[in-house]
Amino acid sequence: MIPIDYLRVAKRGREVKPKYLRDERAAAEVIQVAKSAKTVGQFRKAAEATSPDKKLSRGLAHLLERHMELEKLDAKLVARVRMEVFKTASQRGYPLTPEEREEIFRLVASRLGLGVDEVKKLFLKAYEENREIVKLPDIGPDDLTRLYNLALIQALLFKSLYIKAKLPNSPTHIKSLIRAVKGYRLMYIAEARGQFLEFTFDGPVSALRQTERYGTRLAKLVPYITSADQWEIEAEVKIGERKYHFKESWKSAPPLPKTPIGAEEFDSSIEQEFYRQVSRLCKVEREPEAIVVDGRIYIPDFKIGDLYVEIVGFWTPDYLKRKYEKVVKAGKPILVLVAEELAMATWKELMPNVVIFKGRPRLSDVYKYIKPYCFARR
Amino acid sequence: MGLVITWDRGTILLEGEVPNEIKTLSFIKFDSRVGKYRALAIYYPRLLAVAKSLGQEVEDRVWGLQCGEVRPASEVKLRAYQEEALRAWMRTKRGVVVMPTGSGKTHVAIAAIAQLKEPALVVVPTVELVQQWHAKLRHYFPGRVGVWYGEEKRESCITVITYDSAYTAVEAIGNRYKLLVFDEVHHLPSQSYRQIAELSPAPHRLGLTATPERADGLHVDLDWLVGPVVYRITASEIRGVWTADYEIEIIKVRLRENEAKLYKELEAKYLAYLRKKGLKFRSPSDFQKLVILSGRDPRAKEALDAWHEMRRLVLETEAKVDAVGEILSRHRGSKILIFTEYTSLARSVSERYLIPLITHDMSPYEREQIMAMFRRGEVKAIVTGKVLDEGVDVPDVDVVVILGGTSSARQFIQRMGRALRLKPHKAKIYEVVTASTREVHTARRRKKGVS
Repeated sequence: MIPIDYLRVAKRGREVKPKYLRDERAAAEVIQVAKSAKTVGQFRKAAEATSPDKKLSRGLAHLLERHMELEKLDAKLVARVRMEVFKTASQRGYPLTPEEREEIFRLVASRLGLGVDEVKKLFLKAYEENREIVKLPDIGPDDLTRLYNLALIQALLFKSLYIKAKLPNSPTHIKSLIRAVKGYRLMYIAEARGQFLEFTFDGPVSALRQTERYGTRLAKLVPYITSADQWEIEAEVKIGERKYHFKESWKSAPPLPKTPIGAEEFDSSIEQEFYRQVSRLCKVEREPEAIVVDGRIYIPDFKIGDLYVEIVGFWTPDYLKRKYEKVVKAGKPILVLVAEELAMATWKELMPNVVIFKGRPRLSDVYKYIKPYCFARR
Repeated sequence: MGLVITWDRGTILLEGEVPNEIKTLSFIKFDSRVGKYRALAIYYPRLLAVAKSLGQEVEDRVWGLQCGEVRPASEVKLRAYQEEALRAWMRTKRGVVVMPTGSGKTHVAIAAIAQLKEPALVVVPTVELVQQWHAKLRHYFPGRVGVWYGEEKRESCITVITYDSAYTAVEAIGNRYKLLVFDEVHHLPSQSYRQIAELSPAPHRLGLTATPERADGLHVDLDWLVGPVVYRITASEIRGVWTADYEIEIIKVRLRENEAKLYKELEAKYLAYLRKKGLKFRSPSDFQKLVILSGRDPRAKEALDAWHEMRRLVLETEAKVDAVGEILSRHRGSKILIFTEYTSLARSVSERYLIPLITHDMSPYEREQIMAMFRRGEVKAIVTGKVLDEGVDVPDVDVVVILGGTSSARQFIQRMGRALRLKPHKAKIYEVVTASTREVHTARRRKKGVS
C-alpha cells in the first residue's frame, strides 16, 4: 500500500478511477536508479527525479523501498552514541565553532572506545535516509507496475464508505476472504448469483451513518478479491467533501499481482484424520463451495455426495443452534460431529444428524449417516 | 427477558423486548444485516434513561470492565481553583474544564479518577504526553496504569492512549472504561477523532484544554461529545500567582544574499499572478481560492509553488541557525526549548550544536530517553518541530525560542506556555523572524490577543 498523498486519480462526473500505469517505463527507471543508490535517502532523491509527477515517482519508490533489505543497525548503540554526544555537548557548553564540535566527537569516541569517524557515522544513523541499502528486491519493472496499480486501487479505497465485490464461488478463496473480513472486524452480506457470490463489505457503524472509518481495512480486502480469476469491485469513495463512484473489474483493470492463496490447512488434526479415513471409502470433497444462508457465508468442512459434514470442537447448545439451524432450514442435509468431552447439554434435542464422538470421530460411528451419500472412490 | 443490550464494536445492539417507544428514537436504527436494532455507543446513557422512564427492564451486557474499583494510593492535593474545577465537573460528571497551560489540569483529572473510582481511558495527543501522564498517574495509582501507543499496548485499570491509537482501538476496548479523559480536548471535534467519543459508551467524560475554541467552529460539538464547559479560569486570573511572568524579545535576521535574491524573484512571480487575477487575500480562507485554482490552472500552481518556496526560505534560512548560537551563548546553564516549523531546520540546529531533537520521525525509544534526560537536567536544550507544541511538562524551562511557526495564536500560546510553569524569575521568549519578508506579519498576527 502507498500513502494516500501519492494517490493519482481521474474524475469524470461522479465516476473516479486511479490513473493506472499502463506501461513499465516509469517502474523500470525507479528500479534503475535504485541500483546506484547507496542509502535510502539517495534512492528517494534519485527516484523523485525520474518523473515530473512526484506522486508517481514517490509512490513507486515507496513500494520498492518496502521490499529492500537495509543494513542492520544496533539501535541501542546508535541511541547510546547520540545520548553521549548530546550530554557531552550540554555539559561542555554547546559548540559554536566547527573545532568545538570536533572536540565533542573526540571526547565521546574515547569515552566509548570507538573511532571518531565511527561515532560521527553512528550519530547520523538515527535518520532513516542514512541507512544503507544492502540488497535490492528481486522485482522486475512488470512486478513493480502491478504492485503499483494494486496500491492505487487500495489508496483510492482508503476513503471508501463500503465496497461491493463479485467473485466465483471457490471455497479456498471465499474462506480466506471471509477470514480476513472477520480479522479486520468488518461485516459482510453475501448473496448467491449462480456460480458467483456477491458481497457488500462495511462495518457496524455503517448501519447508522456513512463513515470512512473502515476505508483502510476495506482496502486491505482488495488483494483477496483481485486474486480471483474473475472479479468485480464497486465502491463509494469520499474525496474532499464529494462522493464518487468507483467500479473496476478483471476485464478492464490493468494486470495486478496475484496473491498466492494456498490450499487451506486442515483446521485440526481431528479433521485430517477423519478425511483420511473416509476418503478411503467414499469420494470426499474437502472445502466444498460456500453456502449462503440469510446473507451469511457458511463453508462446511467436507462434502460427501450431497451431504455436508462439519466437525465441531468447541460448542455450546446456543452455538450449534445458531450455526446449523439455518443451514437445515435451507434444506441442505448436514451431519454435525461433536466432541463428547465438550458436549454439555442434551444435544440430541438440538437437531437431527448430530453425532457425538469420543476423542476423534470413527468411521463406525458415522457410517450409517454417510452411507446413502457415499459413492465409491473408484 | 426484557430488553437486552450488548456491545458491538463501537455500537450498542438491542435484542429481546424492544418497546416501540425505543424503536422509534431518532438515534436508533434497525440493522437488517443482523436483524437487530443498533445505536452509536455514545447514546448508551440516553437509551438507559429512556428505558427507565418507560419502566422497561434492561439486561445490560454492555460492559466488560477493565477492572473493578480504582483506588488512589495517596491523597490528591489540589489548589483552591483546581478544587473548584473538580466540584463543578462532579455535579454532572461530564464537561470541559478550561484552564491555562501550567495551572495543573492533570491534577484535576487525577482527582476526578480518584473520586469516581472507575476504570478510565486517558486520551492525549502525543507519545511524550503518554509518558508524562503515565508517570504522574503511576504515583497515585501504582501498578494500575497502562499505556497504549504505536507498538506498545499494555492495558490496565487506567490506560493512557494517543488520539491516533484510540481512534482505531475504541472498537475493541471502548466498553472497558466508564470514564474518558481527553487532554487538549480541542483536538476531539475533528472528523476522525470525534469517533473516539461517539463509539464509547462511557457515561462520564472530562475534557481539558487551555483554549477550547477552534477556527473551524467545531468546538460547539464538544457539548454533546464531552459536555459543556463547566469551569473556566483565565491566564490573567492566575498570572504571576501560579504561573511565571515572561518577556518576549524579537530577533530579526536577514536572508543570505542569494536567498534574498531568490525570495524577490519568487515574490514577483507570486504577486504578478495575484494582480493578473485580481485576487486579494484578506483572510486565510481567501488563500484557499488559490489552492483550488491551482488544481486546474498551471499558472496558479506555479504561483502556489512560489509561495511555498518563499515560506520555506524564510522559515529555514541558515541565518536562523546562526541566531540560535547567539541565544545559546547568552543563556549558558538555562533550560531551553527551541521550536521550528519544519523538521529540516530542527535537524540543522541539532547537527550544528549537537542539541537533541524530538520530531515525529525519530524512534519513540530515543524520544523517551531524551525527554528523561531533559527532565533530569542532563541536557539543557531540546529542538523540536511541532510535536512538543502541547503539554510537555518541564517545570524549569526558562527560555523558549521560536524559530518558525504559523500565524496561529493558539500555537504561540501553547509554545510559550512551555516556559510558564511557576518559577521565581521571569521567563524569556525569543522569536526569530526574517526581516523584510512576510514572516514579520505572520509573527505579528500570532501575538494578537496575547498579553
